[in-house]
Amino acid sequence: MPASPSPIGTLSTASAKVSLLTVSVALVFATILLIFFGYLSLRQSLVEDVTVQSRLIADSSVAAILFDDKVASEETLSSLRLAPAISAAAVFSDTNVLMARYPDSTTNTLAAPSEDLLNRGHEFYWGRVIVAHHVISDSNVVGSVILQVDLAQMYERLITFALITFSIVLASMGFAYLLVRRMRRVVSEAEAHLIRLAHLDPVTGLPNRHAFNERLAHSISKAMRAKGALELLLLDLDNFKIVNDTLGHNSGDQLLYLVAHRMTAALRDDDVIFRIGGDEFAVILESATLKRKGGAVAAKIIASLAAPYKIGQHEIYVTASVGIAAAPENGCDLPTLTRNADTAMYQAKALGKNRYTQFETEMDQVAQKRMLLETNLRKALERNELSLNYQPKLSLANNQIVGLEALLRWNHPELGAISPAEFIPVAEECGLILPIGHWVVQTACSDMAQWRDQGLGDINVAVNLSVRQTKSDALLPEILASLKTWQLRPDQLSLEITESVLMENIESNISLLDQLRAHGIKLSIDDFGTGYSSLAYLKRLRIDELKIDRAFVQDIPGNGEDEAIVTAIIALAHSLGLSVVAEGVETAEQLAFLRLARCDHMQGYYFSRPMKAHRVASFLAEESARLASIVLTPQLTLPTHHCGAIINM
Amino acid sequence: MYVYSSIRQLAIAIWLIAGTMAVGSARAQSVNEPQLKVALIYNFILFTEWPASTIKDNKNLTICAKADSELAASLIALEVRSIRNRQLRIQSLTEPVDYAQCEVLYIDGSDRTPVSQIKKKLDRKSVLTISSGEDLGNDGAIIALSLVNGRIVFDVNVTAAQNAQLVISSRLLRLARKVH
Repeated sequence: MPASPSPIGTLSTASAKVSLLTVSVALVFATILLIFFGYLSLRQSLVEDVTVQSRLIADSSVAAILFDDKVASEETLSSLRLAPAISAAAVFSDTNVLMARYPDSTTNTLAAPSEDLLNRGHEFYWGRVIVAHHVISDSNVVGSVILQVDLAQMYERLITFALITFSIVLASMGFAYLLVRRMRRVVSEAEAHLIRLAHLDPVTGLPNRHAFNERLAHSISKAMRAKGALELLLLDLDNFKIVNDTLGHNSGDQLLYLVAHRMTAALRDDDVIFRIGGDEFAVILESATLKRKGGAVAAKIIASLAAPYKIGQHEIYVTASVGIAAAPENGCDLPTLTRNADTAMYQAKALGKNRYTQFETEMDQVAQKRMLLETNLRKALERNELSLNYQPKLSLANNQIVGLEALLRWNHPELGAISPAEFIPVAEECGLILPIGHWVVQTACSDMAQWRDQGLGDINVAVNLSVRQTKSDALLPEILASLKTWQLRPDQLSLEITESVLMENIESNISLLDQLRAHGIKLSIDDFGTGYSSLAYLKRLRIDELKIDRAFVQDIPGNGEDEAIVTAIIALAHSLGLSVVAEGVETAEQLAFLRLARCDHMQGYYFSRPMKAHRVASFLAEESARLASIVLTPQLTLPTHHCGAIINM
Repeated sequence: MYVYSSIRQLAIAIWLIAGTMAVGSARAQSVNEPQLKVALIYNFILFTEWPASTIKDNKNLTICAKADSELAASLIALEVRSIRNRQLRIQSLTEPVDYAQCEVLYIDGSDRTPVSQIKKKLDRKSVLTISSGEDLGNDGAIIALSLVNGRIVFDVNVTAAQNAQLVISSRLLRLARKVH
C-alpha cells in the first residue's frame, strides 16, 4: 500500500523554483540597472569630453571674436571634423552675431545659446546633447560656443554593451539553472530516500509508526471536518515472540513480511496498513458513510492469517488479536483512539486471542481502574499499605496446627481493602510483583522469627509464588538471604506454586524446584485439579504437598463427582508420597469427609479465618484446647461407591 | 589638434583675400578708423604679457601716445576699461618726451622721431610698441598697423617682442598678416 505522499518533497521543489525565479528577477533587475548606469556614465563622460572640447574651441576663438575675424573662427571650428561625435557647432559674438558654424550648411540650425543653457553647460535631447560655453577674455564674456553631439554612436555602444551584458546574464542563468536542476535532483533524491527511511518499515515495506501517527492525525481531522467516520484496527500477533525466540530473528522478520503481505492482500487499495511495533500492525479505515465495517475487515484479516506459513523447513501458524476503535464514538483524537483500540485489542487477547473486539466504553473503565490500581500499587509498598494475614493449617491426624499460610492483603486509605484477585494480576503485569513478593518473604520470615522469640516454637509458614517470581533469577538468593537473616531453618518455609503457573513453563520450573528443594525449602502445588496437570511431570516434580482447590471442597459431601475427585487426588498424592491439604473447609461435614478420605491437613473458616500476625500468638495459646474438641466430633462414613474409584486409580 | 603654421598661412591668405571687405570694427559695425585702431590696441594688450618683474604699478597700465597723435582723442575712451585688473591709463606725451611711465607706446606719423631712435631711447624696456602708417613695414615696432585695401591689417615683429621680453599670444599671431 503506498504511503501518503509527503509534502516535504513538493515543498522543497517549490522553494527551489521560487528561489530560482527570485534570482532571475534580481539578475534581470541588476542587469537593467547596470545598463542604465552604463548609459549614465557613458553620457556623463561624453558630456565631459565635449565640454572640454567646447572650452578649447572657446579659448581658441577669443582672438577671432575680438578681432571680428570670421574666417579665423571658422578655421578653429573646422578642426572639429576630427571629432565625429560632434555633429554641429557654432561660435557667436557677445551680441549673438554668428561668427562661424560647422558644418557650414543649412542643415546646421544652431542658434545662439540662451543664458540659461550657458549656465547649465549642457542640455539633453532625444538623440543629441547640446553643450554651450562662454568665450571669455580676461574675465569678460566676449561670445559663446555651442556644440551639438549626436548620441547615435553612444546608443550604438550602449546597445552593444546591453547585448553583451544580457548574453552574459542569460548564459550564466542557463548555467546556474542547469547546476541548480542537477543539485535539486540530487537533493530531492536524498529527500525521498530520507522520507522513505523515516516513514517505511524496512522489514515489511509497510509505512511505520511515524507514518501511522501522521496519517491517523490527518484522517481524524479529515473525518471530523467532513463529518465522516473512521475506524482504527490495532492488530497484535498472538505468538510471534515464540517464533522469534525459537527460530531466530531472521525467521521472525520473514514471518512478519509474509504476514504483512497477506494482510495487504486482504485489504482494499485505499485502506492503509502500518507496522507500528515489533508484532503490532494498524489499519486505518476511512469511510464517508457512518457504516461500520471494521469487524468485517478484522475477520477477513484474521482469516487471511490462518493458513500456515512456510519458513525454511518449518510450518508456522500465526494468529492475531484485533482491537477496533471508531471515531468519533470512541474518541476524536489520536491518543484516545489509539488507547481505546489498544484496550479492545487486549480485551481480545483476554478473551482467548485469535479474535477481534470492538471497543466499548466499559472497557475503558476497566482499563482506567487498572491504571488507578497500578499507580496506587507503586506507592503501596512505601506507604506500608500491604500486610500479611495468616491462616492456620491443621493436621487431621493429631489436631495439631502444622503451619500457617501467609495471605497478602492491601488496604488502601481511600479505595479500602482491595482483593488480591484484583491487584495481583496488575502487579504481575507491571512487574511490581517482584518487590512485593520479596517483601512477602521478608515479612513472613520476620514474623516467624518473632514467634520463635516469643517462645511459640518453629512455626512453618507457606508463601505463594507468582509466575514472574518463578522466572526471576533473584528469587532463590533473596529467599536464602531472608532465611539467613532471621536464622530460620529452610524447611520452616514452604512455597506454594499454582498448578497453572507450574505447567506453563514446566522445564525451567522443574529446575527451580530442584534448587529450592536442594536447599531444604518445602514446595507445594496450589489449586491442584484446576489446571492441566501432566501426571508424568507430577512424578518428576520434587514437591512435598498438593493443595486441593476450594472449588472441589465446597460441594462435598453431597456432590458425587467432587467427592470422587477429592478422594482421587488424596489417593494419587499418597501414592506419590505427597501430603494433601484441603482448602476452604467451612463445615463440619466437609471436615468429616476429608478425615475419612485420609486427607492429611486442612485449612478454612471452619477452623480459623486468616488473622493478623500479632494475633497468632494468642490464638495458638487460647484456641488450641477448643479446637481439639471440635475436630474430634462428628464422624461420617465415607460412601463405599467412592472407594472403588480410589482403588481403580 | 591644430597644425599651427598651415592654419596661420591659411588665415593670412584669407586676410589678404578679404581685402575687399568693408572696413569694420571688431567691436562695432559703424565706427571710424581711429576708434577701430583704439579697439585693436586694446585687443593687442589683451594678448600680450609683460614680465612680472617690470610691472611697477599694479593698479594701472599706462598707454602712451603723443598729445598730437591722430588717436589722442579716441584713446581717452580706454581709460574706463581695465585688463587683468589693471586700469588703463592714457599718458599724453609732450616734448621733451619721457617714456619712463609707458608700457604701451603708440607711434604714428605725428611723431617726427623715427621708430628706430625711439627704440633706442626705450633701451630694451618692456614696452609694447605699436606703429601705424601707410606702409611702415618692418620699421622696428613690435606690432605694425597698416591699411591694405581699406582694411586694417597688422604685422608682428616677434624678435622685437622678444627683445622687449614681451610674450605675444599665438592666438594673436594667427591673426597677423605677417610675423617676422
